[in-house]
Amino acid sequence: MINFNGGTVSLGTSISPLGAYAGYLLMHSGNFWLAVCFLALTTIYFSIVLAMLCRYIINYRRSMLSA
Amino acid sequence: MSTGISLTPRIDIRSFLVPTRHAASPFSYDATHLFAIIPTYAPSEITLKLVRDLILWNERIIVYVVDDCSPQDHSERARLFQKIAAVSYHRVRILRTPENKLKAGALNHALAHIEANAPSPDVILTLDDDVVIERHTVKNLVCALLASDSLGAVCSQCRVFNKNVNLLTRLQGLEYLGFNAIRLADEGFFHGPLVMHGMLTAFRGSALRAVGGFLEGHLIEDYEVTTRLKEAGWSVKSAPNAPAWTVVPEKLSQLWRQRTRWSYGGITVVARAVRPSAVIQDILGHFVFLSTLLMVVVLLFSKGSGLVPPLIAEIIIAISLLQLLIWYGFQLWLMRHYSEKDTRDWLIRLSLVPEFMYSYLQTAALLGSYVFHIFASLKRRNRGERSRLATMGTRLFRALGYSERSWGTRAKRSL
Repeated sequence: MINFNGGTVSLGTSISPLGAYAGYLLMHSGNFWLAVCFLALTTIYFSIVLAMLCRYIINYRRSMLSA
Repeated sequence: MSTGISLTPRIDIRSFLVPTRHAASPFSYDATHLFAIIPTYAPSEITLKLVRDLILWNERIIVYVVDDCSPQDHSERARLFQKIAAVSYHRVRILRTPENKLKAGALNHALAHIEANAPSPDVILTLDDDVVIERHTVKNLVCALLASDSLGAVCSQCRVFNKNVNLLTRLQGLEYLGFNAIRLADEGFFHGPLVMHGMLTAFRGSALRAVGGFLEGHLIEDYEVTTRLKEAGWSVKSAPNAPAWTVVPEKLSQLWRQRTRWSYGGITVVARAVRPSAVIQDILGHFVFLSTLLMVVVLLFSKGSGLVPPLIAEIIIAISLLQLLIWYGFQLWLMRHYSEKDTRDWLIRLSLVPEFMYSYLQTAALLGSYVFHIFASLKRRNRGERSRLATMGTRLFRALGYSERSWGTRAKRSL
């Protein structure tokens, strides 16, 4: 992920290396409940990104129509 | 405060997907009392050009340039202030703070003067001293603000003036393109984008007065005042047709100091926020970041049982790849709005690697900010006890770029 700045946290840019590392560790450890937690986290993050894209498209269209 | 509209803060969950529209209000740009405040510690030729352009392109604007008690022994600086004053003896006013008050203090100093001389300013623009504007930037910004009574502030589009200097400035150019896109996406999401940046923002005079101006002594006064505006019920947004250019750090050390200030300053705003909805983007960001961090720590110290069904692993990988694909496509699509782009920018974006490395810098600055926040909180709790450890810690963090007081990256720039 690049350049997804969820505020001052720089969400996507910060998550990408950490998330990849967490995934790598998960694949090597094989803990079922941690895998479920990681799946939930990935889904939440994906939902945030999709919702943001959805809002961008709507606002972009609105700004095009009002221009 | 008398606005004639309801500003009751409310949380609209629907705006997570479908942004709320701002109700339109009638207004007259020509009848607007417009003021601009430019705090400066080290003015440059760009500051002079900015004042000239503001005066030339906006007939009704009054510009306040606030010298934040800069050293007066510098002849070049004194000459610049004289040139700035000479742009218009009627519409440019030079103020000087009695002591160095940092940016928020300098802004409040000018606000007090405006209030004393013009009891009801309609719109107040706050600008950095190294901003370059276009002919219609201010007018478009003010019209966007006045178009709805629910708006307390509207910020400009940020572009990078010195984009072509080196790889670092090019990366920031691409990053700022993302900032503008996020601000558009956040319009109508709860109370709007997270930060009305200090570079160039138009504030409704009544809104700024209602929240008591800027909080002095804060590292990022723009984020702080945006949060208080939202907590008071105002909405904010960005104006897509109001571009402004700024000078970004050209050296890694300068960029690092800027980012540590932003990330630590951001944490302090979130920690002090009264209403979570005013800082919802950062709350989500911190939640996901810290959860992932926690996951890494737990995985490092836990022993696996080998019971992970392959399906879960496959779903995680599939979601991650899909997300990467969607976001990468969006980043490429965004390039069509990057009018200053050239082949090198395309190469940087297409190859992913430079931006990926840049992300490590952000991650490191954020991690350091968490640690510094804990350290600063403990230090405040033990106020009065000046232990050797606290002094050493303060020095160490200062050397790493973390501080609780700063004028930003401009302060030490020489003329």
